[in-house]
Amino acid sequence: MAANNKKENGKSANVFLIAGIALVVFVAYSMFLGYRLYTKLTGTYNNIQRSLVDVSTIKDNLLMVNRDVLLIIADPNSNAVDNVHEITNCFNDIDRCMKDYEQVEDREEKEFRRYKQAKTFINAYHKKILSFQEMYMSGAENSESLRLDADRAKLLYTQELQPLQVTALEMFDAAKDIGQSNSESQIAMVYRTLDIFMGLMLVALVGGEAAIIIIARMAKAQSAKLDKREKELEAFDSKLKVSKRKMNEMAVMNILTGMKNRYALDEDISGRLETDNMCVTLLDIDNFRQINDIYGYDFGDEFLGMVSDKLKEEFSEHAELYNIQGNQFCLVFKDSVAGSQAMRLSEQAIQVMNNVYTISNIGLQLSATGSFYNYHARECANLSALLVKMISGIRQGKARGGNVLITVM
Amino acid sequence: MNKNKRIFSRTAICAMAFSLVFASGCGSKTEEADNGKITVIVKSQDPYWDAVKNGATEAASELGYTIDWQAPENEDVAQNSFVEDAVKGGSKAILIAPSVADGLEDSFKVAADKEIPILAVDTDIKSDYKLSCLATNQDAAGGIAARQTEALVPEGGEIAVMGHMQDSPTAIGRFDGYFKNLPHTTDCRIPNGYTDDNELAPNTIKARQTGGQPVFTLVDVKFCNNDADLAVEGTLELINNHPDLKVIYCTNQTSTVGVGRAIDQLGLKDQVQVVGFDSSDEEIKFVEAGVLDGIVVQSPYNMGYLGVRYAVKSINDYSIPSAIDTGATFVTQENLNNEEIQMLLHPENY
Repeated sequence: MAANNKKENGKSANVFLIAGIALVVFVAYSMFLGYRLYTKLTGTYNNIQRSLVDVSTIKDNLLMVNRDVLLIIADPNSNAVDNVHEITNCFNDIDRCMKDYEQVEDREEKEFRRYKQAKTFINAYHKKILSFQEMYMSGAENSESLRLDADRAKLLYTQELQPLQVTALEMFDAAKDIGQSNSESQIAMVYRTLDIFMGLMLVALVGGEAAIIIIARMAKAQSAKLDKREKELEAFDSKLKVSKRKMNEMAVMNILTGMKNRYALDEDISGRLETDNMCVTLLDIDNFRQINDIYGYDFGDEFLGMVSDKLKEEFSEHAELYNIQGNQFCLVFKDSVAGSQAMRLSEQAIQVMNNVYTISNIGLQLSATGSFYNYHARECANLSALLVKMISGIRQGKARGGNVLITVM
Repeated sequence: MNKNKRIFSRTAICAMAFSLVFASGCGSKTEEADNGKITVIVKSQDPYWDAVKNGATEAASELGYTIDWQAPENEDVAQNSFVEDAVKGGSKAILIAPSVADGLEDSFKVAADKEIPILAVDTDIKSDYKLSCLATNQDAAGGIAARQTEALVPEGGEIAVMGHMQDSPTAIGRFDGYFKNLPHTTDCRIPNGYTDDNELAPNTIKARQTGGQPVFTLVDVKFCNNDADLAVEGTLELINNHPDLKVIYCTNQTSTVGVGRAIDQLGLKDQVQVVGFDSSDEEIKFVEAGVLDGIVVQSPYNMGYLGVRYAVKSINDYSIPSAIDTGATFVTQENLNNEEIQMLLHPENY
């Protein structure tokens, strides 16, 4: 049962540990994810802005080139030099924007493909304009047959230049549209991910709260169980103590007479034999065996009980009383009782025992023999030696006919 | 209690797993939008239209539309039913390369009543309901061919025409545009419906000859009825009838291929300059070999691509120009490998 309890507690601790680690990982991962989404969103916005600026600059420049070409056709004498210069600047600007556009990372393949087509059209348009300039202006001097007059220049413009410019513009728009649509879907995806992420956080929060409540309830139930077990153990322990005490008592008591037994006597005085002086009296009921033989053991037991009760009643005040064997009683007088008084009290005890005791309307009177020993320290090595001396005194008394107190030395 | 623990740990694991999935998913492409379909009706199943289809399909995919491609068996099939089916099928816009100059007006009206924008591609058509036309301006294409002829043959000389169909508006446009821009005189009968009102005046001829500028003489106009073999035969006749012939001008792919084959067979590539139209593989080989001196190449890919973009603009109520010239480019042996020419010939590689 205790092992199970330990196992159960171990499991609870593991759950808390795993939940704690999971929470730390989740929070760290959430921060990483949030940072990643934020970076992606910022990057996407920057790319859109950069691409829009590039494409609109390219388109503005193409329109300016177109205007300059028309001005040259309208009046080559007054406009040519300035406009040619401006066309060159415009194409430089277009080149710069195209390089910038190409540097933006993460372009979708479709978008880049369309951009490359637009770039090819622009290059073709530029090449055509350069040859147009040559034919219309300086180059015409070399080949008379290629000289362009204003009417033919207009035709060349509408038939060969304008379609290239229109297509280039449209292709750039297409590249921009693809890029924008791609970026918008990326942004939408980021927002959708954020929504889901927030939802997950909410679920984690609610789940965490629920888990805390569940664990708290589990802990409470566990604690109540432990309290109950503790109380049970206390009750068991107190029962055990009572039993132990009873067992101890039983070990040093004579159950029949309720007096301490020989073991108790040993316990009480063995330690004192070496150091203390004391008065000890051993009392033995004469002819007790006959009662057992005549009236039975129950009757004898009853008689002993009554005698011992009387002894306790009369002498407990002056001495510690022991029933060391069947009909033998031992009185160890207290230090406050002087030797002579002890002897007198011992004689009284013989008298008390000599009284008539009535059991089941039968009056019984048995004499007793006593052995008195005014003991001095170190006279006996142990209790047995002491008792041997005293029993020999009893024997002497019994040999004299009993009902006498013999003093032993 | 154990059950509670299991639920708790499973929820935590699921939450972590979900967040991982979403984090890794972040940045991936979303599904493409579906804004509807755009019907493209062309004249026939000739490979020329494949490029239109490619351009249209790519633009549609970029803008979230799908293409409903309709290509009849040949140019004789009436296109009215295709227009009406597109209306019934819920198309958002119609791009059409009309096979006829008129006769589609009623169908166009059905579409216009449902506010479905109609745009012509490749060939223009007169209509009250057409919003725009994205095509090569045939007059301009003829003009480009004329200017390049002048540069190729600066000394001038006799010139003949191999037309593909006498009553084809394309042939007429290319003939008219060519001779409007080419300094020439005419020494033959001009077919009905064709215009040749830009002949040089006698004093201009003299002035040009004195100034070393070229003057051409139109000596013959033949038609091959869109049959390359007939074009070969016609070319042989032209060479026989006009030994001093300097230039043959062809008005489409079939006539150009036929004339190229004849000149190649006769070994006359250095004597007779051939200027043609379109860019089939055979024509490109003739250009590489110097049999054809130049071909005017349109951009069918751009027609399809820009056509769909402008159609979507009109679906979204943006105004669009009534005509967009998708341009024409003169391709010669010298510029054949330039990037812009290769992109024109093989847009799928760019």
